[in-house]
Amino acid sequence: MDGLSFVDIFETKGIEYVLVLAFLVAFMLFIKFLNTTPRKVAAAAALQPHKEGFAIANDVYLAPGHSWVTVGSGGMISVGINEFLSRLVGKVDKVEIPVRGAEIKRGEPLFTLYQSGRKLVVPSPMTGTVSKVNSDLLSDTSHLEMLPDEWMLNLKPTALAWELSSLRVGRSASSWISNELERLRDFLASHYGQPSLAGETLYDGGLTTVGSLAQLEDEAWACLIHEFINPDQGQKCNNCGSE
Amino acid sequence: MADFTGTTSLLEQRQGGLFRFILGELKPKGRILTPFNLISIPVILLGLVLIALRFAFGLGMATNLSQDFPWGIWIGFDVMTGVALAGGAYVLTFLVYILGIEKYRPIVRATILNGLLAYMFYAGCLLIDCGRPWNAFNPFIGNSFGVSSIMFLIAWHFMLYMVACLVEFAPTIAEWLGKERIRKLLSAMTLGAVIIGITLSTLHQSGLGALFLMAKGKLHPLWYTEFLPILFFVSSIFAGLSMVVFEGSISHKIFSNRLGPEQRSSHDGIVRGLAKICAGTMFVYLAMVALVFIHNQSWTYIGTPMGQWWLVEIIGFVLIPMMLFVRGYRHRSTLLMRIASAMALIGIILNRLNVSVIAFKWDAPVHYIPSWIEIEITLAIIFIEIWIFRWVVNRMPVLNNLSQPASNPNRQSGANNVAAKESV
Amino acid sequence: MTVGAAGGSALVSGSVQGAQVAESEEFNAVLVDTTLCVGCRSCEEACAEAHGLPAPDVFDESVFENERTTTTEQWTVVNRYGGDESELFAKKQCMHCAQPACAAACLTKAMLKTEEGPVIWRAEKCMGCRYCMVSCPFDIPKFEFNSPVPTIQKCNQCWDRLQENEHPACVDNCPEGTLLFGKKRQLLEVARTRIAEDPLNYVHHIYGEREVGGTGVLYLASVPFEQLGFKTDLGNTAFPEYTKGFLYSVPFILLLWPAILLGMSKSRERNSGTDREEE
Repeated sequence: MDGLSFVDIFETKGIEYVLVLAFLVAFMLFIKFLNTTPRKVAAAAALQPHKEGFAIANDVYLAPGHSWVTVGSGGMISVGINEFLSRLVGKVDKVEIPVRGAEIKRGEPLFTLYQSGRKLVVPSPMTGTVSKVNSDLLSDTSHLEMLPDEWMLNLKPTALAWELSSLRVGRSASSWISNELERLRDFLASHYGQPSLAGETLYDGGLTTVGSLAQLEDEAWACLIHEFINPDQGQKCNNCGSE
Repeated sequence: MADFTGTTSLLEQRQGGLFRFILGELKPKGRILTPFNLISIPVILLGLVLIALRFAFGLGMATNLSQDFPWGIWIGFDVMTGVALAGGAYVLTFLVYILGIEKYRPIVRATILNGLLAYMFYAGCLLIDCGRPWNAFNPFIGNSFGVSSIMFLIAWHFMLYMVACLVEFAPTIAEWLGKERIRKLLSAMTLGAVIIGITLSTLHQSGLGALFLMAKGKLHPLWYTEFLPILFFVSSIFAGLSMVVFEGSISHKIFSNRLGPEQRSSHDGIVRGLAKICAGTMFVYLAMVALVFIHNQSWTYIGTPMGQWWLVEIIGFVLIPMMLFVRGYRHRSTLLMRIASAMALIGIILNRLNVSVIAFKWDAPVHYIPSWIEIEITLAIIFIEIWIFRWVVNRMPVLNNLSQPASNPNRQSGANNVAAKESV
Repeated sequence: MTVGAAGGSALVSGSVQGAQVAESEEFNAVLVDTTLCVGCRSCEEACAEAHGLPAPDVFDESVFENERTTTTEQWTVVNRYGGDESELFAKKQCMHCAQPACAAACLTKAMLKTEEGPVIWRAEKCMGCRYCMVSCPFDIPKFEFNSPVPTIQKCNQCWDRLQENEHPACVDNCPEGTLLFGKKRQLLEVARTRIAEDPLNYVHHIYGEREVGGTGVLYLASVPFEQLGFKTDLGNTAFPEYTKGFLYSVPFILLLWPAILLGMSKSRERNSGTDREEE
């Protein structure tokens, strides 16, 4: 009834303000919690996304198979494998490179890396004729694990402008690598049964571990190759139920 | 199963005239007698017959609506739930075009397509539900602007939003038809359409909740609140995103042959990102629900059966999926995130059905239960929508960025055309 | 508009005829004094005849066994309360609210609150969306679900007769003087006078004076209104007021959102230095 007895339309306002304050605090904690990595997942992830460690120079072009291309004088291009792949692979037993004069099309096998009896084929980023080969690599394979800058061969390209335009460079290359690292983390987290397999890492990101590829079982290995390096090789494994 | 050769001969087909072109594109691709087709075709045919009967004989023969329950699942589920679940379009376009989060770009097209189809079909459902649909133009043609009505607002927003979605999706169609100039023109309009789309969505998502503001006394106090519009708006955010995750997972499997390399590789990362947003939004939503609970002093109702039901909805299908999203996000488990999205969807369906038919006149002696015809027609409409989605996805560059298949390499296509396998 | 001096009713003269304040702008209304109603249902009969509805069998007393509501074929019903021997009756029909929920809900203005007072329904505008039914606090509008060309059926206070300077059929045909037609202001005075002059016979409340912001049908009763089937928990706020907050904010969102969104997208572009459009 209007005006005939006590009424307080703001009766619950006090509690509501308290609730709002509590919510603000709780929300901040919630977001922080969401962004922490559970112990198990952190241990399982072999590579941490260190942006500084994976800086990519502005004139380096990245191909989807994690090979890189730089353009030299006279229209020649140098090809190597990038840090993502080299850190992932680590030590190899043998490297096979095509001989001088070989004609390779984009997407066809370029380098073959042998490790523990398994063979990883890196596809060629561009079409061209092999003009020069880094013979040091053929003799000393321990180099591979730490030297993403090491060129492996030079190509005389046949469709330089056209094929270059579909490779990633600069900022888009960096963000792609970040994405790939995230994806790799997811992959390793879901494919590792026990965190201890992943090698030594600090809890929330310190050292990166090199050579986690070698520690994967055959099935997971084939899956990783298929998903990250060369879609023509390997195949998705049963663990990838999400796909 | 995929067949790209159909689109290469677009130019030849068009030379044969528009009619031949349409006929050509209507030819089904792939097998006809899939399990899905075998189920959906009879449902659709029966649904069409039933719709005709409904118009011939009136709503009474087709529905269990009554004077006490003037709205049933066609409004409560098809329109209200459907619109909430289609909210992915405005959220995603916000993320990609306003905030510039490129991570979600690969799925934007599919989501806009879904939004467009959803609204078109739910508008159709409205016409089936309206008793005098021949007067449906009245709110639009100026002789009867019922501006005091929230329904008026919703009607206009539906119309305008469909146009906005169409403009957002049109570049894909232009790409498919090979009309580069038109595509450029339409692309320039995308940002405007997105801004309008988000504004309209805000208003009609909340508007659907506002519809029930005058149902005070009929809607159970645990659901009735003056803040219902805001609750509907916030829940539409995670409803839409959960639908994107859920339905995207299905599309990913079924249309895997149409996926471009970006869609294929980015899927898990996208699911994870959306899970995070859902978790955060659901947290906020729960806080709002708590606020309303205190404001309305609703603790007196918790002991009642409806109170228990309310707890089932809020705790079982909002709180728990939120926790699953959190866990799935942190542990990078796509499976958990998918389960969470399915549960969140159930929560939204429950919420909209509660507001429209379950908690609406909850104490009526004879309660409304949908008739089999209402359910059948609902299913038919959903199946037709899926058919059209499938038709579009199998032909247009929705799930990939390839505007032209491998046989025409001279055409410059989208900026991220990696040297992927195109002969999938 | 003349004050309804309905046939045979003992009308309080003085104050009713004297009131001249803004007469042409004020609503007409009907006063229902349930203490005078004997349940003869002549009003039901007259209503049916005036509007071409099926004539009810007013001699069938079994209808009183259940509490009835209006239907698509009966715009008004009389219910009996208090048992077989009781003499308590209440006539039920559209309340013709001052700020009707149905009219606010109607997106085509098919439901219209006329200036004279009654709330009417217009077939040529109606889409059949039934939002009026959802909104009405009294659950009055009834829909012809079984017709392919359905209409909404409810009392329109004989608005067409009002145009001919006649009174609602029910008012004209009530033999007991239960129903009175006139300006709401004047009817309120009549009601208050009756209560003041016979305080033991009346509950000291005029139902419809303030309920849901005031209605166009006023009721007097000798027992608490809940016992006569009235909803007493509706509050005094007009129902359209509940949508006011939302509707008033719509234009602001339509202005604000585009500005904010455009600002956000432009500032992001300036930050990243790229202008990425739809590919």
